[in-house]
Amino acid sequence: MNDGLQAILLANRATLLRFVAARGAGDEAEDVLQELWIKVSAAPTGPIANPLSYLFRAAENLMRDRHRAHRQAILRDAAWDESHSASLPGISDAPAGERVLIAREELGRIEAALAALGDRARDVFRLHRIEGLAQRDIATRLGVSLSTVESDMRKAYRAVLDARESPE
Amino acid sequence: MTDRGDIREAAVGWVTAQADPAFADWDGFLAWLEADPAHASAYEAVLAAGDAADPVLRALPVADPVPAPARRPIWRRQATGGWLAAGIVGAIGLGYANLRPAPFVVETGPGEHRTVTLDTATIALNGDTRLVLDHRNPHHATLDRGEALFDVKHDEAHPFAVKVGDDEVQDVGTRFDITRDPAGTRVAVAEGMVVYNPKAEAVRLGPGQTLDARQAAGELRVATSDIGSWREDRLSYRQAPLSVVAADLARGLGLPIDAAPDVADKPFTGVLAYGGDKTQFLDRLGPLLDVGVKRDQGRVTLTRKADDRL
Repeated sequence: MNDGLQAILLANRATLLRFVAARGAGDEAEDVLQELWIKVSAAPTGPIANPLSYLFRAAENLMRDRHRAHRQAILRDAAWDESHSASLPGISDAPAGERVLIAREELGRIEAALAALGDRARDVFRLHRIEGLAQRDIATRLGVSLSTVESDMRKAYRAVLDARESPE
Repeated sequence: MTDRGDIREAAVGWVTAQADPAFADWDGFLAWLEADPAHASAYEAVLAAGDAADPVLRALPVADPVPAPARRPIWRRQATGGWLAAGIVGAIGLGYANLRPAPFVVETGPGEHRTVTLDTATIALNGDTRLVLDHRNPHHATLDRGEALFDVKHDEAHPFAVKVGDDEVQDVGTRFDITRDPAGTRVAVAEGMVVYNPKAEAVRLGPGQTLDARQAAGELRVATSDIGSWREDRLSYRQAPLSVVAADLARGLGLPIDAAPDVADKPFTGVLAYGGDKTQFLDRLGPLLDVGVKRDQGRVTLTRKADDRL
């Protein structure tokens, strides 16, 4: 239970609602805030340096999970179609098969793009994405400057975006 | 630079800036999002790109959690151009032939769902689940904790095996669900056939059969369509002890839920849909399970109903 956070959530409800709406919550913005309320209620007590920033971060994470779940549902449907289309006469499996093929090709392109990125930028990106390290910790770990880490991260995101956008 | 390029660059900037735990310019971020609907989609595209890169990044050989001889990551060797011709870079992907284990962990937080696609199987992870996979051996997985639904492409020569504690589940072409929690292991088969502990008891399970080694409950039967229904935030039971229901709900809702000893073995038959409002769901849970629901400091405990104690 965290009364302080709940009070700050209530006081900033309108702004947080605008935020989740702007992040694509649509009709479900109220639901997301309700979920945020439950998360905050279950959060461990303890001093939080910047409570409003904490709430925004939590709302951002909820929105990331939602968007991710949506993307995965699309992929899962494709995988399900692929593994079951044989037993469903009359339903063509071509589109699903095609989707899986596109996914594989895309993975190959991303792989090539990351391989072309260079060792350091790729390490930076991996430490950021997989190990979840903050820029400062990545800089310490690799013995490079903060601005190098940030520029490597941006470079890596751009490379993957390019790989996903280009059809070949 | 085009407008679109500018927007993309700004989106990359926001995603990178937020990787800093001290990021606090939420007002600035909100103003940017509200300035143009294209901003939100550009931002989401950057996040999606990050997610799409994760499987590739996870496959990068790095310092091993298990003792292994010192070795250099394969991509480094390519990059230094020492002993691999540049031309075969494209051919070396996730499936490069190397028999040394390269384990990696896929983990979900409470209430989080995630799907992993391998060449051999598609695995959907329920909340609070930890699965260890090996890029050098795509026919093997270890479920350390939680619940996962496996869709396995059957390969006669290389059966897919899942290690769960000291037990092993081996597919014979299949869609199956495994749960592991402190109480033990549950295996439910939706399609095909699996063999439980092929080298020991070798129990064969067919469609619709569930083996529950969690409560020494023996074999239960559940309807095929119900298996893996947690992915739709729906759980269905036939004569399941409440301790099992509580553990499933805790995983799915992402809340600490326990069954008190006085109701832990009480059987429940029915369907729980928990996709909507969690507070409302918890309010309805007591009458549904015919128990009391005690909430304290964010913990939820299923207990005997207050009037039963009188």
